[in-house]
Amino acid sequence: MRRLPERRLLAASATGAGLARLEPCPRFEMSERAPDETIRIAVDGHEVVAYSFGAGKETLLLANGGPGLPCDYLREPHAQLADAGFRVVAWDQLGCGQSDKPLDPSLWTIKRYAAETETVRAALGAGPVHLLGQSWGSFLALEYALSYPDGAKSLIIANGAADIPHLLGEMRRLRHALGPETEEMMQRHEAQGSLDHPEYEAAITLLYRRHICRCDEWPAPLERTFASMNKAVYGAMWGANEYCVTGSLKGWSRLADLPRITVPTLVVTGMHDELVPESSGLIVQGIPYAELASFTNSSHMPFYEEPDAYFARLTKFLKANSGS
Amino acid sequence: MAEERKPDETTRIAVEGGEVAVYSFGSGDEVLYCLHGGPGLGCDYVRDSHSVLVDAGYRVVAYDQLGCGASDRPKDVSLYNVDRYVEECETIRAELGLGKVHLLGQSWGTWLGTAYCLKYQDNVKSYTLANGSADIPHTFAEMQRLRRALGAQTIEMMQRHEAEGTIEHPEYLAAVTILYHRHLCRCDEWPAALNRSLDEINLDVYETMWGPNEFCCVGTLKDVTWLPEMHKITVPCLVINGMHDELTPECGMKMHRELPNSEITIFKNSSHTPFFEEADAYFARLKTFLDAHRA
Repeated sequence: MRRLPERRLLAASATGAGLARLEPCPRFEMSERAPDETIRIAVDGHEVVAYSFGAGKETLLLANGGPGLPCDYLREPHAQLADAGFRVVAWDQLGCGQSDKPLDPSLWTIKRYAAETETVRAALGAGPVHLLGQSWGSFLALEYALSYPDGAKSLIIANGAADIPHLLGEMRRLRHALGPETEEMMQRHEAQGSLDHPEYEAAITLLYRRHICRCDEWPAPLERTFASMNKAVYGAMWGANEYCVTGSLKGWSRLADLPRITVPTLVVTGMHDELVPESSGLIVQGIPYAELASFTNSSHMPFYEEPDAYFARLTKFLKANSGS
Repeated sequence: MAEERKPDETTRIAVEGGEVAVYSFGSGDEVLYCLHGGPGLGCDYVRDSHSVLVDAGYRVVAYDQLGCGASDRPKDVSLYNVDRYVEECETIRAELGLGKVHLLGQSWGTWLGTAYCLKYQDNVKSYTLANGSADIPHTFAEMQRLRRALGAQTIEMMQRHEAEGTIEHPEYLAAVTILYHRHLCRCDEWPAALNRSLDEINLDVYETMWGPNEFCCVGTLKDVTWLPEMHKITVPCLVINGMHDELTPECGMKMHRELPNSEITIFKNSSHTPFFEEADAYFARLKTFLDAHRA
């Protein structure tokens, strides 16, 4: 289907008010922090790029979401933890950001990404890390903790899930809130593959603004992250968009294995999170030493939506679990 | 989409406030005189679709109302009122010597057409009210009902942006996009003539009389109703709405009940533009009505 011409509709320039009156996201105006060190790490015959901030003995390793997204949106807000005495490391997963982007689709599996996580952790030479996985990164972090139980001294499972079939049922519930006619319209476009139709994209926009990031203006690193998505990776593992899931992760569940995770775990959720609070609840129930931090005014990005409360909670957890 | 028909004649006529562009297709004494919607849109979408009636033996005349399309666009917004638009309509009819016309109003064109008929129905042979209404408070309540189908959270979001004046926010525009594709035109690809009319909207006119978008009515029309007077219109009337019309079937039914000499047809696969959405059925229905009321 040919894409309809871009129209800002009749609302366009209607008042001239524009976005000027919208409150900027609390951290939006802050300038971004440059990494103290950029490291290239060999992974499966390719290279990935890691970014390191600070020089503390305790390392916080960030596994970002996607799959297929660069780490910008997660790295930038969390880099401030260097000021709290932590070494903060993020990396662009293979296929993403500044890392190599091989075309081999057999690389896009959660098992290989878990092995990549171990390769990155070992290359840092810092011993066991505090591993923070956000969104898809939470699936990855859980898979990692189950496969490499000695690599992480604590886990932060942020805006995550352990049971994708359950999650997909919940995400359908979020869609349904747009009304039955919207659901019919979306299903029709999904069935016939016309996902670039303006009405379908509009429904996705509504859901993203409601359940991914509720900041009136999306922070630049987040916009940049979405703009540079590797759709081959995202499509192979997830789908066409957050709400149209056809990829290899759709049947993934580690719920039954969670009791094997014995490190202290902080589970983070937003009340409006597209990876719904119940998904986090299931993780808290499954992991023996888990505690929940839920943010009532956030969706999927509490580090942008409620940064003060989020970082206070995260810092407290990291400090409580620092040392040998 | 078929290629657009070129007007046989394009003229400019002086009305109060400036010159307006008038387009004429075909010839003869049976004239379909078209009033476009908006207010503030160009007549392209009505003109291009209805010019097909030339092949049925009608002369089709449409014009860009003052402030719209190729007509003058005075900055004085006090010109953009119903009474002046009624006189403009009469001036053009008289100037072109159209005689008694088959008047057709679409959307806002039905409000204008009804106001015109209440003053000048002696110059009207028949009156087609396409995708129209007569009672703006009722109409707007109906449109609020359509909005609510997007769910409580969406309505809260829209009301917040309307209250704060941030109606260019992507989430607000997204909600409006869904509503337009549901209740304005359900064609997968909008016809070029419709896109042109919408792209060239004069927001001075639209905002003065209606508001910032279809689903937010705050302009001078917001409290107007012609319903109590409609019984005075005794010429044959055809009321047309789409089942998914933003000016809902109930808006059409209310007019049909007041108009003493009216018929009504609801196109069940259409919203606000049945002449694009169900063109064959629409023009067959319209032609039957017009043919029955030739001189």
